[in-house]
Amino acid sequence: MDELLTVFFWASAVRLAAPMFIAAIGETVVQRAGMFNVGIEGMMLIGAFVGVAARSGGATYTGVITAAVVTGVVGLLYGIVIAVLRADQIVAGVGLNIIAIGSTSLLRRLWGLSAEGAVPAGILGEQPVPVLVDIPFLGGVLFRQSPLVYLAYVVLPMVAFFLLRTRSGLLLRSVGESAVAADSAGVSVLSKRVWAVTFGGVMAGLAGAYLSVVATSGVFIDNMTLGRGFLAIAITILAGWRPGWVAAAALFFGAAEALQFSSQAVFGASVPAPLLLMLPFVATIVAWSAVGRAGRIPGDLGRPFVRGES
Amino acid sequence: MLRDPRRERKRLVGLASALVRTPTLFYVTVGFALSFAVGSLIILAIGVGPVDALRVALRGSITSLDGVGNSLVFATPRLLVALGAAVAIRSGVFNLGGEGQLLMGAIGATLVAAYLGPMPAPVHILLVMLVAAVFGGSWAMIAAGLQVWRGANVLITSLLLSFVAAFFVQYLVQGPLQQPGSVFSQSSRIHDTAELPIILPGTRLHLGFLIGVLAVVAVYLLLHRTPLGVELRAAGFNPRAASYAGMSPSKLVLASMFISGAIGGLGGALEVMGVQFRLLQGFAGGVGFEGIAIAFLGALQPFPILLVSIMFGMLQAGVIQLQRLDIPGSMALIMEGLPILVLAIGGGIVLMRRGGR
Repeated sequence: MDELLTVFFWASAVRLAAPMFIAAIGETVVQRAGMFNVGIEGMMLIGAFVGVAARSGGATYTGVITAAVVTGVVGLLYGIVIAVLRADQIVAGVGLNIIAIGSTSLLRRLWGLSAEGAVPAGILGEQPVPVLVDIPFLGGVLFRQSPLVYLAYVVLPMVAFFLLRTRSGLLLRSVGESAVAADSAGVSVLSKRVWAVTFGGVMAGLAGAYLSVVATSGVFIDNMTLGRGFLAIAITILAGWRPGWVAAAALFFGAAEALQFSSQAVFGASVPAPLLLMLPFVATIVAWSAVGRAGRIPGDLGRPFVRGES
Repeated sequence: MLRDPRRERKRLVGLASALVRTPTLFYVTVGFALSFAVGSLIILAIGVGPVDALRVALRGSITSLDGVGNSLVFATPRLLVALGAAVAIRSGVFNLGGEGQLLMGAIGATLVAAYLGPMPAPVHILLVMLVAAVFGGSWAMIAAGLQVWRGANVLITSLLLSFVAAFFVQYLVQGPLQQPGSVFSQSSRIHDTAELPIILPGTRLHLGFLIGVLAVVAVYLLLHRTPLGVELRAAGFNPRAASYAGMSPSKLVLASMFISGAIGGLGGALEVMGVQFRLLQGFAGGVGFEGIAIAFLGALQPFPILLVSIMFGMLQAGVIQLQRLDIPGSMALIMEGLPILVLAIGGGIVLMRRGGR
């Protein structure tokens, strides 16, 4: 069991958790505004593709920034579709995901992005933070990561502060709790929701770009997100829609994924990887069922707002 | 949406009844028109002559015997998942786990088809179908049970269970069920007696498509001609009235999810017995999600769902042939996704018109 206490294990847990963590920060804001972004999987995939496609020869961060901008625009349009046009959030999300798999794969073939295009992540690779990295244990775990992970460290408290301590954040939450009440208090329900989904899109794009630019060193593989967007939704739920818990929930998922590389040492026998990868999903189902009716779910989550209908 | 299953059902009902009553056909037509327009643009952009492309696509899907067979083979698993989804959604339960239920059905089917027997073909095939239906139905019951007893919404649990099922398949074909001596992630081949017969000589079209059509009729009869079907639809339309009328909402959730999962599981069995002849990694490949989309495009009605499934099958079969002209097969996914998005927007517009702004 000593394996579980090494810096190596937890550092790889953080590394593997990072894409889900980044996306889940966005999804928390989206769901607090009452939107259920099933399309997050597709947005992540688009981010992963753009991250690789847009860097061609240039610096790695151009790819990541472009990815965030593109998925931000996708998020804005998708937000208009589900918030303003009141498209069903599940059906529209399924549609977006199918289109995202198809179009990224199509463009990969047409633009001839091949697996040989592997380029080290450069400035976005592992960058130890001076001083902080020397903290025993935690330094090696938390501060020898990609700058994109550090960005998430900064964004998470900002999001928490925004949601829980600012007037705008309060209004955004009110839109998610009861759109009708918020509307009669004069809050612009639709614009709050559209901006929330746009933010969710930007974060999903960063998460996807992390996957392709950092985790696989510049290789895009068809459908490479493999359900990590849905995992981000699971993390949001497991964290009980509280931003502070998102990090813990994501780390739990990352640790389960990291276990597959050291299961031999931990359990004394090699546990098949698929069973370990299954673990976080089972855990989320258990947690979600344990919370059950008592959960602090945004009251209007997933319900379209139509004035005059309660 | 997730707090109170009853309130959730009310929302779904709004959606379901809006879809059934309003011009779904209009939005579906617009959606497919847009999808073919985009498809043509892609073909033009790639620089292939559109007339050539159309001829190849049509030969691959409609105008040749082989093409017709392929279209219907592709339509079959999508049809069954969509039928299953429709049963659940019409009953006010959002079963998003068709993919997992199909996979569990495929596992059950493989166990019986490859490791039991050989036995007389009709017996073997029926046994495989029965076991697959029970596997798929039981898998769906986990989600249903967690909603009924723990208040955990089916939407989330059924989706998460799909991933559990996918990893379980991966575990099986790399471990206990891996074909002895094989390096591939696949199970042993099924017995000959469990193979579905070809019904159109010279093509790949197997009996499974006809079984699918029978399932369409069965679902129609179930929903419209049996007491249980009436109760399920009542629960879908107005849960409160249904429970005042003495129906047990919990029982109806369990029943609709079991039937829904069993139909999806049957889809997995047909794919094992008619197409793959074994369990493979990546077996479903998103068919479960396409099935949900098809259910909505078919306005949650069995016969329209059959038509839309065949449409999706033709798209798949046609686009696969286009690969000979160097047009990537992933174009099919774009062309399938667009009508879904258009329909979702159409449903929203209907909702707004009804509610006023």
